Amino acid sequence: MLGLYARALEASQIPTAMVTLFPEVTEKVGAPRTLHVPFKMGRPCGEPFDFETRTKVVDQLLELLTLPSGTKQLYPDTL
Amino acid sequence: MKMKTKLKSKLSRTFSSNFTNAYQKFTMSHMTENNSMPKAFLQKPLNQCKVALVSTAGVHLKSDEPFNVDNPAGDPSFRIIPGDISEQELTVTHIYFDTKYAKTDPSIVFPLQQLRKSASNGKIGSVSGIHIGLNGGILDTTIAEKDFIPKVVELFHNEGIDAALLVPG
Repeated sequence: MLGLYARALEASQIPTAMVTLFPEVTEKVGAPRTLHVPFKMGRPCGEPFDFETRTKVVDQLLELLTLPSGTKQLYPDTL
Repeated sequence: MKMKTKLKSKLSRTFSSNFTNAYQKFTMSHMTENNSMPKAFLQKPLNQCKVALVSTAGVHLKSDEPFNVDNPAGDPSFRIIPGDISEQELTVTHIYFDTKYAKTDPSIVFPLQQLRKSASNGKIGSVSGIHIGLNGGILDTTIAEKDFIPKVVELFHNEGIDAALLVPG
């Protein structure tokens, strides 16, 4: 359902960047910009109190907003 | 939460954590494939943008009505989370993942404090005054698409939100 929100916001000219745990699912729904993270369900931004990881996830999501719709990235960004 | 819902939650969590690929296939079997991709781009530099969070992890204020997890069809409604709340005011209602981690540290599903940091160090313009909490795990998304999604889109435009970060459960 989150992918549908991404698409609707994007269609109304609000860019989105979305964390995904299941890239095949977000690909099928056509979420505009996704960040594939290696975390478990229920912990999409990392483990409790691991604020360093959380900041990196948010930073990478914000960067993703500046890239074209259709961009798929992996976390961590190894570049 | 009803006993039946608790049991359903336990079974689903056992299934998804042990058979992740099968869980992904199950989810996909209920989805419509979209081949076109809507394309928006930022209307201003990121450091001037107002950014909002959207979560499907069942995040809501403790003072709000919890999501109705006893409804077998799921609860497609949304909760508004003000941007100036403290994390102690948040809780999580969801049956398809173990919520104990998110209740200990809500930022693992709702990274509001990190977004605030991005605003204070100038990476983004500002944190939105409103954010959206949803309850995922809805297979039939008809009501969401007809009713709730357009409402949220309108709300975001009224608030002057420039971009959104979306986080699943």
